[in-house]
Amino acid sequence: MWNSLLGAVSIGDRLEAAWKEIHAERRKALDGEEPSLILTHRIDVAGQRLTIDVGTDARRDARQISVDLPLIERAVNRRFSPLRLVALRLVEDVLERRRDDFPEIDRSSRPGIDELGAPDQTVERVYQSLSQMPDVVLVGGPGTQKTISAAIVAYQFEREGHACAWLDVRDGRAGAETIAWELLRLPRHDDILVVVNQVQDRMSEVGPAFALTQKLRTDFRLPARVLATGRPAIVDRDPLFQSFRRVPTPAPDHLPATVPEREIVYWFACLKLLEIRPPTAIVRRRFPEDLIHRLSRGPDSFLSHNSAHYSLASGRDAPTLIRRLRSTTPPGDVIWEYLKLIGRSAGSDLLHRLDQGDFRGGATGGRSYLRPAWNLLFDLGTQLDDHCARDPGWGENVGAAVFAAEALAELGHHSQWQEVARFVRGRWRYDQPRVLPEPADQSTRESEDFVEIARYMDLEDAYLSVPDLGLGPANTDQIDFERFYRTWMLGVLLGFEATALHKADDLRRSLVRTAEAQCQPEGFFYPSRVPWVTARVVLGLCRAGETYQNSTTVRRACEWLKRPRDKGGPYGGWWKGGTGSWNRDEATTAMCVAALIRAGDGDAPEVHTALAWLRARDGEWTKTDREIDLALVLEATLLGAADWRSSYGRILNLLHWATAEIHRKTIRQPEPRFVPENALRAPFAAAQLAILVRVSVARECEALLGQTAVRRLPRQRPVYAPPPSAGTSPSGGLLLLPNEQRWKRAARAIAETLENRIKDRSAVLERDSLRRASDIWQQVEGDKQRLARCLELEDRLKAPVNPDDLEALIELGRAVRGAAWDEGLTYKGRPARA
Amino acid sequence: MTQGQDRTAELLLQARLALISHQVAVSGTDPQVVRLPENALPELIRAFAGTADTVYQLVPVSGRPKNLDLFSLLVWRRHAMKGHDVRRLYLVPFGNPDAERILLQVEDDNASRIIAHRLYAGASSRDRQARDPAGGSVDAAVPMTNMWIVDNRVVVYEEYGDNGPPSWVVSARKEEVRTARARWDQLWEKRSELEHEAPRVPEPLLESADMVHSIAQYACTGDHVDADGCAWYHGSWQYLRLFNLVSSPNWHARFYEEHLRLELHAHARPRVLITGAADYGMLAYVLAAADRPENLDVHVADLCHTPLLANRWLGRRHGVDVAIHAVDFLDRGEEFAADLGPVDLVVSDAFLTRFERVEAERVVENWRRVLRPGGCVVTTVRLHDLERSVEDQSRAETEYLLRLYERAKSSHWLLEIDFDDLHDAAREYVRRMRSRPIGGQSEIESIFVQHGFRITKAEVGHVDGELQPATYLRIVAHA
Repeated sequence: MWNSLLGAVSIGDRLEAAWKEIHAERRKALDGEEPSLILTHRIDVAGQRLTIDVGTDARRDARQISVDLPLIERAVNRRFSPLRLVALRLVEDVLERRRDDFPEIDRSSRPGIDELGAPDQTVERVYQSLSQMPDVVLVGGPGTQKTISAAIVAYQFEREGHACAWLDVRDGRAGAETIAWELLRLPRHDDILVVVNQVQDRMSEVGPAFALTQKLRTDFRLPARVLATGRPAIVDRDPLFQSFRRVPTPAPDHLPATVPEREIVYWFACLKLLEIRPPTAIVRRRFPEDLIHRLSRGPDSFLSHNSAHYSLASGRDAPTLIRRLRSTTPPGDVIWEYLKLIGRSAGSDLLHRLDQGDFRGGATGGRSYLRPAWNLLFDLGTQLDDHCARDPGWGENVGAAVFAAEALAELGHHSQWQEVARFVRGRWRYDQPRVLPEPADQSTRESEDFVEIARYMDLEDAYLSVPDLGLGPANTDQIDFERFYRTWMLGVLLGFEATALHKADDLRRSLVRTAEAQCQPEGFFYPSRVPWVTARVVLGLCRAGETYQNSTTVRRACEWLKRPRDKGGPYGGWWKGGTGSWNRDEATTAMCVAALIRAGDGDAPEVHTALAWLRARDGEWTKTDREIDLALVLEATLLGAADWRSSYGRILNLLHWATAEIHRKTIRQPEPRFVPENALRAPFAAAQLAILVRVSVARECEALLGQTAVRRLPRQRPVYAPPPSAGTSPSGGLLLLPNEQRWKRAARAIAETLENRIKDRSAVLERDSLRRASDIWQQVEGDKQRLARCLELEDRLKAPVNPDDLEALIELGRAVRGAAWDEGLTYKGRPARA
Repeated sequence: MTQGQDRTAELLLQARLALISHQVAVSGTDPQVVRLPENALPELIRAFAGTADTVYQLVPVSGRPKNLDLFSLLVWRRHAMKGHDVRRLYLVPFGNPDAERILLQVEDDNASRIIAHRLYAGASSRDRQARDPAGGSVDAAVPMTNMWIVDNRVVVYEEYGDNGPPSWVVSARKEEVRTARARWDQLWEKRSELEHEAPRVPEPLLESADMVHSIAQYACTGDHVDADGCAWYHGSWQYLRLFNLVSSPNWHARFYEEHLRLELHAHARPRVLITGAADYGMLAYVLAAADRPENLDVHVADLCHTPLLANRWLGRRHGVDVAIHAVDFLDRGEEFAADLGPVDLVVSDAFLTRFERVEAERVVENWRRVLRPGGCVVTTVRLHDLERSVEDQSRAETEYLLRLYERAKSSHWLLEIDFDDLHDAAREYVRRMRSRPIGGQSEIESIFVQHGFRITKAEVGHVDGELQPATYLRIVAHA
């Protein structure tokens, strides 16, 4: 680029060399064809500038631009290409304000031909409108396939021998400049279509792009048309679109009728988020062939396929389907399972793309950590296998063995898992519902930890029992340590059975029943002095599918965890361990935060405060030998913090440490020092790390879904809404006033307000390099939840309508759009008070 | 008692409770371990110095002494004077600014009957790590923290997290005392080994790395590596050098020492030009090679102000007034040469591979322009054609970051930068920095010959490299 300038010394030579570079770049782009825009040049040595006439056959001198030598040299230094420089000057008169710097000019992202389906009625209408009017706008809400329709129109247009310049304003390119640059590279055509896609995302670029097209028509006499796409909230309001022919998109598609079909479509939609097209062999192994066949049939098919792959059918919008299908399995979990299915190498490639943010609409990116973490996780798995082959009982320590088994289960190492499971299930008995787990024969090594814990608690009591200060900790003598130990094991074993590779449902159910029986009336699990026991049991229950929403036990335990200290609870801004430095406050707090989030109570203010406290304590949990604390805090941060990606570096470091540590244990190197819970450290870290990498993937998927605001759902038992029965009126007998359309428009207005708010605040968050905008993040998260709720309620307007849903919508509308939002909206039979 | 007094008493009580609760949380409840805040150290020293018979101390010398260090030293010297066995091994990390001061301190210690030695922990290299099957080199395994063994019964050590002041831990745990004793014995044995002597070219990296990082945030203007802004690169450069993770003149130490000395000694008042400088590394070699640095007329040219300011700073430390020139040597080299006048020596480390081949030729041409007849260029050029290509870039980047973790985890607290930020900076660096291939040995030599140079030395050297082992051509060319 600009190489001709290297040997040029005089001003004239340098300007001539610059022209040569412009000409060469254009010639290369045109590939021997005649250009749409004709350039002729003059060199003004005295003025140190290159003057270029830009025109067409119809008008050779439509526009004159000049490029001076300092600008050329700046472009050379910045490696800004010659033709981009011309594009930059060409649009100067249509820009609303001058750019401070060289903007990004490049090919805008446009769906590939293989992503497009057959032309439908919308495409036909757009095409027809373009034949009648020069400017057309395709209007529709999210998920109405505007981009796909516009792309089909563009391809048809090109196939008929015309040209197209495509600008998707979502991808950050400069608007008018990009179109000008495309035009400078275009061969001559009878008709040119300028597509400006998704205008609502950056209206500041849209005005100049339209103004440029107008000038092409008037000054250059080029036959240029515009096809814009956008949301109604912008298009209907902005005067820029007054002269446009409006083509509305049809309402979103229907959903598959049966639960198994919905599950299949949901699976494909999740994979589509990462543009994954699963191989036919995997699909056939995973799903019944008749269902796949049914979903791939007909003009409204949900799936498409070729000989090698299946994928979500072109025209189907993955985020919209994910939102509407409302599965209880988060997209991240679907993708994680798929990653494990395809193995190390293919999974690594996929995560590399996620790292790079290499997905449409995906300005996320794992910052180059996910792929390395995935690879290191496999290294860790190898070390775990080695250790389990030599010692499946992990030194006769059931606690350690359980954590190792969880890691093995997460990694899908069946045979090693079975070895460890045989040891765990053989050494502990927990098949009696309502009876705490107990050793089958003689005690296992982790029981020694509780002797140590007793000493720690004694010492804590001694420190805190200062005369005259009125401190009165629970006396250690009164603690039943066996019950304490067995209750902890209840939580540990719940986690083990819930994640088991070879399920023993009776054991899992028995443990759940026991947990229900052991939950004390106040909500804690014994002893109340030690909240990490309650957190451990809640974590185990969550893994078994019990959550705040569906389990009284979990709800009571969560409420107890959040209860303030002055009301008899354990919470005081953070959680104290109650066992001295055996599970310090940082580890205990992280465990409680993770338990609350996993239970589905993560938006509680106690969680946010505790996360802030944890952040302030990073001088403690990052100390050497506190890897358990570190692993727990990383999980809490990944699950709940606004800047979860800040944990990625530490996850890699922990992976590195855990791999080395397990290796050290396997070859029986001596312990360098005494560390509490030393036997548990490495297997626990391994189990946590498998979770951490999984959660990282899940959060990146959430980020990809951010625009559609699907909030990660807590794990819970599948609960599907019954399908609407045939013959029921949409309103289920309720008469919506003034009419159903007004209600739908009103719901859409709330959604659009929320979407705009989320977008604006997310932009602020992205710019916040110091990562201190957690309050903004909380607002964004709140809005995302409101939006998810709004979309859910909007969906339900089509089903039999429940008055509670209508009231909820009214309440949401007032909160988002002000008190007057529901003016004129009501339904028959609405109580006067409401 | 009035209501107001009751409330006052209640508030004070709450404050006392908070203090006790905090002390328990910080110190922990391990019966064999006591954890003290840093400010409690004088009390601990006073207690132990009254009773201890033997005290063996590993003492890191970071270049930023703490106020407590002097107090500690004086107490232990008094203790030694009373006939107690006090030994000190000063651990000097790579980049320590002041070898002379440490030497004096050791002499003073010995005079006070402390048996003291110093041990230089050089920048870790992959070779040395590979030799140690236990998972790290001696250098990598030594935490740069204070560690004392008292009466062979307890070990006292600093405990750092990623942030905040360290705690001081006193542990009577057998495992910890055993591990500490083994570390002490291993290092004490190495106290006189040659490889742990002071580097011949001292660079005060520990003192300047934080400073350069700060300056880069506002002084970086963009350069040939990244025209949009080079703070990501200049800001992290010296940190990465501290851990031997970036290309620097140190990778060609003997070559530079030998040839700079030879060329500089040929002139009474040599005029030297350094072109392209990520920091002051090249200047350090020039100053070290000169018998009388104050007689040098040194100029440094670079597009960005950050390395220029760093060079001026190092020059002033040596009493040399370094002239700095913010100039584009590629495009303005000819005018610059005319303005500057002829120089005797051009020095430049791995500069040519910042450019495309055609640009590199112009740089060589400009070197020729600025040299007086008979003048000389001493430089290195990476030979991409002799290296394997990186097969898995992601894996290589991960290993790079893990090397940083291994090397920095024991000493990052010597720096002001947060460990996470250091990690992020390294990640940014390794993802963005690219060296451009400009040809093999013969092609590179021909560039020099075509522009009127005579090659007087051309040797191929193999170095650790950044992502993978690298090969460089070391060239001395005369005009």
